[in-house]
Amino acid sequence: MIKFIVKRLLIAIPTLLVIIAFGFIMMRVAPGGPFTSERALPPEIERNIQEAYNLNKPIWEQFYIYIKNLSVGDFGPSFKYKDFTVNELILSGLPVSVTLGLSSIIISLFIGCFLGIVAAIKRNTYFDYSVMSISLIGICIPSFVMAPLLSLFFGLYLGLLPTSGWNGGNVLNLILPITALSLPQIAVISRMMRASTIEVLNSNFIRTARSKGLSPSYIVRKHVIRASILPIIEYLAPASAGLMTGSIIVEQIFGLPGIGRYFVVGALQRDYTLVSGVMILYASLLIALILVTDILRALLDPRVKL
Amino acid sequence: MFGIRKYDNKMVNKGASIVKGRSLWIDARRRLFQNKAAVTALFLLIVISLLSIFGPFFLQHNFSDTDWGSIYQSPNLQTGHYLGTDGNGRDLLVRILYGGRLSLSIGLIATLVSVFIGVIYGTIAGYFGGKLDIFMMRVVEILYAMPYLIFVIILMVVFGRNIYFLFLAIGAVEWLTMARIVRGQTISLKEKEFIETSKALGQSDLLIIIKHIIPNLAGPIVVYITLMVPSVIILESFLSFLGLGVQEPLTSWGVLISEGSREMEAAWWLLIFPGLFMVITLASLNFIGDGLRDAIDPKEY
Repeated sequence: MIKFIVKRLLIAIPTLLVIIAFGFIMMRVAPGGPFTSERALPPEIERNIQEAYNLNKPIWEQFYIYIKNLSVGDFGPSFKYKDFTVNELILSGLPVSVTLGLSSIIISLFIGCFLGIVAAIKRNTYFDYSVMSISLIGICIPSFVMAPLLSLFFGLYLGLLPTSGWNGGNVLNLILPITALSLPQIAVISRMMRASTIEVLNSNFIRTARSKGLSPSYIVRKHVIRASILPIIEYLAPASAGLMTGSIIVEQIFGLPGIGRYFVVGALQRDYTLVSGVMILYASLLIALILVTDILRALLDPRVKL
Repeated sequence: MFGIRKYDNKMVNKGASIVKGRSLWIDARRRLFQNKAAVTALFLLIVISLLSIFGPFFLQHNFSDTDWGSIYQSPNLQTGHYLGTDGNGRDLLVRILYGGRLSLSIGLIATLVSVFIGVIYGTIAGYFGGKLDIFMMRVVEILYAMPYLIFVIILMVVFGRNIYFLFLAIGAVEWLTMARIVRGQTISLKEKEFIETSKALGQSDLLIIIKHIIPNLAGPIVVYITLMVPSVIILESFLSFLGLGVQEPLTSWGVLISEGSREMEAAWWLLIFPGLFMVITLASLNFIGDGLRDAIDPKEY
């Protein structure tokens, strides 16, 4: 077990290095830096700026400095938001994005799994058909259509909920963004859960449990869920990746000051350090999640050996 | 050798000349057309594609003509603005159809790009195996760990918001899953007897891949294409929504939805109609993909 984790962590290091190098090279090779403006700056000032941000050094040295700073958790200064470091920007956005992401994943897991299991047990009834067709619609409506629709309907027409803003994390402000983020995931998870539950229900060990005279609810609680949840665990990493990108859109639409918003602003303004900082953060999160899901799967599934 | 086969065929045909052979594809087509959802979806998709291609020729308005006399007009049959106008007085229906041309063609072309890369990569890794396979799949794994949308955004920032780079950038990230599928299939295919026979006959590896492996992968590839086109359309719209994709005066469904969501308080139709066109297209493609999968590979159900 520990050997497996160490091995996976060792594999993760080159992966992260590749991602860092990619982000670094891309942003440096890109035409038009953050300081190219229409007004030509005097050469002395330009030289001073370049010196302050280490831009005058050869590119490999810049890369070395960047990696060195990263290893102590320093993403460097933001190129566009003067007087801010990338760390400060990310830290200010982190609570917003983490609140959104965590609550969405928990909500979509619970609702999705519940709907999937019930649909599988009540297979080919009206409940099953309606859950499956609604979830199909949920898959086909992308978040950037769903989010404005929700805000139009509940915010403007019904006036029940605020259309945008963070408001210090007020629950009312969170309902719409979390709904917009969760709906597609609920749709996918409920479909996956239904398919895997049906497969489990048809397997031999469930028939054995039934022939022993166990009650149906006991079988579902103790035997079915444990086996049928495995594909969902594997889906956790892609789901989180989907939530990350979804949150970029949702933060934009609902005007929430999260990391995704900084990423888009940074990309549009060519703020190299901010963009690569956010990318590295997302990538490391994803790598960590893949590791966690692998371990979880091994714990839940006795057939998997680490 | 060829003589013997001909002779055999004759013998067989004499015995059972009434029964006509049915290929996998004829069988699949029959099953597909029995699937009502898939047929409806196919019909809707054809209608939307034809409308996008030919519709603008029959409408009285041009997609970039501004008309300051008719700003934010709601849908109206008399004025010829069937779906209303936007903040510059441009006709929404024509713009949706033009956007459809772009969104659909990006979906198709970027998908073909990524299928091309994925098939070549996957067959090489699967066919040659060994260290090469391990290395190539390691690369795919590393790329999988990248939040790929963020990768596309960076590509778009670096190369400017050029529509051709949009094709390339999307194609460049979507090939990973294709490569994995193709590799898996190739590994199981290359152990089959007919590949062994071709090897014994001295055919080169390249010829075996092109003539025997790739044609046998056609089923999963076709299914995957229909499921990939919608995800590419979503990706393009996502980028355009953020202002990183298609630029004015060109338009796509993503651009229209983005404009619509900004102006929905004044004009709901600017959000609803482009969204509706897009959702119908995505749903149709998903239904067709599901139907094709059931039709080509019926054993799963």
